[in-house]
Amino acid sequence: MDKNKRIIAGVITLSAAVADNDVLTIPKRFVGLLKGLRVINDDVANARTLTVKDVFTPDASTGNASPSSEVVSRYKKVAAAASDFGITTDEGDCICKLLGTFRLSLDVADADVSVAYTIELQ
Amino acid sequence: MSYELVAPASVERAAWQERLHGPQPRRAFIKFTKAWLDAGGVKWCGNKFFEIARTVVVPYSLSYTIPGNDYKDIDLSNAKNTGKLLYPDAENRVYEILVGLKPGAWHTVIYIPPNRPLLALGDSTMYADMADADKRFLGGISPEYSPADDPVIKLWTIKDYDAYNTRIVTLSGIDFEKCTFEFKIAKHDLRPMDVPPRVYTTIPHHSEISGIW
Repeated sequence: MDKNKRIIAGVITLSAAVADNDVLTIPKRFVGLLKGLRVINDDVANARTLTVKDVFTPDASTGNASPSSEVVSRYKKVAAAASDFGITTDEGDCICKLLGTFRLSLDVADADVSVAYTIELQ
Repeated sequence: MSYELVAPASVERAAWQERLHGPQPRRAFIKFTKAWLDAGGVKWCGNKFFEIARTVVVPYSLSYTIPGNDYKDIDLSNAKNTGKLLYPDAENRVYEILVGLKPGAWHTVIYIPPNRPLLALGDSTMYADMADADKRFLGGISPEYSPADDPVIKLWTIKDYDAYNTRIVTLSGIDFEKCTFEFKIAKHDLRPMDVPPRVYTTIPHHSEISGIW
């Protein structure tokens, strides 16, 4: 691994109450390259799917002087069968680019699901 | 000069290796051309020589998220409320700014003053035009051309100099892009010289570079 790369890695147990889980916000001067995503589904009865979203408010521009908050889906849903896990990418691949808040949205709120992620700041 | 492609010794000598155990910094001299005499508000430096008496390099960045196929103007001057304050606030001081762009689907076009592209060609229609698919890129500086970790674009700013505007232009085919400038701002204190030095860097006024010629 390049020693000069800034890497953020972590594991989050998703909320039992809400389907949208805001994990972290990419610092202003960086974009986040989502390099790894592993969904661990400990729910013994239900398969779960996950969507990676990017939440941010753009700056004013010539085309839009008064922008509002945007929620952009960045990656296809990741399937994880009951009591199983799903891995989205091989090491070195980039799943998607994140500009703002890294959000994981589950199809149904479920605290039996956790997600491990690796993000490179660029 | 107001725009050039190489980093001078005055910036290189600030690398931390040289501060620790490198060679002693050389004396560095600059000259502002005669055109500065004709420019309002900046006559103190026109057609004069200066020694760079002290240099400190300050890193800084500006970042904007804007939609694809759009553009946004950034004023780098000290204009109240609108400027990004990258100019000195006193005479006998010059900021030498290396401008790097972080990777992304965007480029920038530099204007000075704000309605005049710094880079244009000879025909009267050959300047950056956001409404024209080809001329949208005329004079455009891309992240590959001046990358953030090895910038090749340099701007000189002094107090009350005309405002540099950098226009961020995003490519079509994307939803949004985060466009980040990385600046390395070398603050130079200047000492006026009575006797011209033998070797010096010439800094032309932007009017000697821009325009259609």
